[in-house]
Amino acid sequence: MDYQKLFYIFSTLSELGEEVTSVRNFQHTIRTSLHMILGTLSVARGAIFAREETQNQLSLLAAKGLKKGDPEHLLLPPETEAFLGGNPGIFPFRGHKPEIRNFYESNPVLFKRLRVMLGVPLQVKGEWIGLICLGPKLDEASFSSMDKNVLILLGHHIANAIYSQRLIEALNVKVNENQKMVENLRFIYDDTIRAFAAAIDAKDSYTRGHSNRVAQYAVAIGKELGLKDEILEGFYVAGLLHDVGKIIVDRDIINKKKHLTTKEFTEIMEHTRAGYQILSTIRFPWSDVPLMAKSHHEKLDGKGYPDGLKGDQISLGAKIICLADAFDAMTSQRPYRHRLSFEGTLKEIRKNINIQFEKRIVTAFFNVLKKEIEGKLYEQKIIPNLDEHFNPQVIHSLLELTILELS
Amino acid sequence: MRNFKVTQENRGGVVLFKLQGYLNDLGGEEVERLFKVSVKEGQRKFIIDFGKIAYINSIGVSFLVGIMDATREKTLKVCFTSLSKINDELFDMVGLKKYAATFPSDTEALAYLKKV
Repeated sequence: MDYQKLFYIFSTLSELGEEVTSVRNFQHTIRTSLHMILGTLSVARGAIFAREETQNQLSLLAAKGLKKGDPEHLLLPPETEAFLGGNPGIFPFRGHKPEIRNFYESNPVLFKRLRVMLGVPLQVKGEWIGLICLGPKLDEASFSSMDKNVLILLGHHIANAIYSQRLIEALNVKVNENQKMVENLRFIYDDTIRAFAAAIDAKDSYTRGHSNRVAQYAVAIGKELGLKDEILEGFYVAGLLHDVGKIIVDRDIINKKKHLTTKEFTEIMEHTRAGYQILSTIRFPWSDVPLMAKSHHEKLDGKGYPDGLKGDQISLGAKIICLADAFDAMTSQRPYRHRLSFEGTLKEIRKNINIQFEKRIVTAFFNVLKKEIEGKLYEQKIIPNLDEHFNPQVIHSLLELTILELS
Repeated sequence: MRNFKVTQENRGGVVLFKLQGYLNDLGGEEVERLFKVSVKEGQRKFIIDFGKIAYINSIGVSFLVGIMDATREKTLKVCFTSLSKINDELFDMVGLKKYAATFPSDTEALAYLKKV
């Protein structure tokens, strides 16, 4: 063999190696590989098939010389499957082996159209995974031993490409299964937390749905502040569980219609520390959920509880939960007082800026309310909960004025 | 690499395909497709001009083998023109020159096809 032919074969091998290791799609790689084989051996017709273990057939991956409507599978008689699984190497289709004759007769359309001459079983790690079928050479000459050696080399690359694709497909199936499992766990997790929040609220006959509303308001404020989804998820969970410490407080105190005594108020205040202790035992993916529960009654001026923290000592999440909690408390009927009107609540919040509530958080919250009134949000999360007929123009002006003052 | 172009002209009953660029990926399938469409339309004489072809690999050869396969079945006449030395040697090596006459230019190929 001359150097030119060797160079041509090596070029093809090199290009095929590059092709099968590229990130192109599998179909493209297999079609390209087939054309490389055909061009290297001067063959006009051929096809590459992948073995389908469960169905006793081979499925067509790429072909040249077939027509539209031709079958896309090769039926595989059991004796042929056994023969090909026995690592027979390259075999002629025109021989007298009954395993191959039966194979040919089971698939007359495809094999006649390909004018099939040669079969090249594809194996990886001893496993038979596919088959290359080739028609005659352009000059009808027999395939030389060099042709067959080249085919073995090229076939090895193609077998590896098919094997890798199978691994990728199997991996994708596993990834999808795992994703579904994670989603299911997520649903269970969400449902559990919501059920827990409902149980907390059920202790107080006046605060049904309170935790859920606080969670929604906190997320709306965080979103307006431009915080990431992962952080908002933490706010949502913290909103649902911020009052979990109330399970240690006597139900009679929570539902008491008269003003609380100092002792009773001290017991109520304890719910923040108790909440922190309970939530600290849970491995949340969001680190500050227990802290948000602990500090949601702290005030910027240091007159809150349980630790009397001031300004920046209070986490952003706790400040947001604080505003969401206060807004819902003011707009809800309580055993010891009537609810405030929407307008009255907004004025009360405004009055407490820099005392209890941080300026930028109030601005964000008022912006959300303004957008809800203007119908600019896809879904209203706050106003429908108010259950109140209010004058939107009055509220809108109040919100606009406050936002302007705060800017 | 999609740096391959093929144009088609009819020169008095002879279909002339002018190829340009790299005949080294599946983009080269276009020349075989156009050839088969012309055959279906009744054309029998063809020139394939390789004057502006920079590189041909085994994929490109497979499309030309496909064309030659069709030629043999239907007694068609195909000429190759403007082959560089390296492509001339390549076509000789892969056996394509057994089925197509080669000429230095389209003019000479046209003159030959008008006689046969």
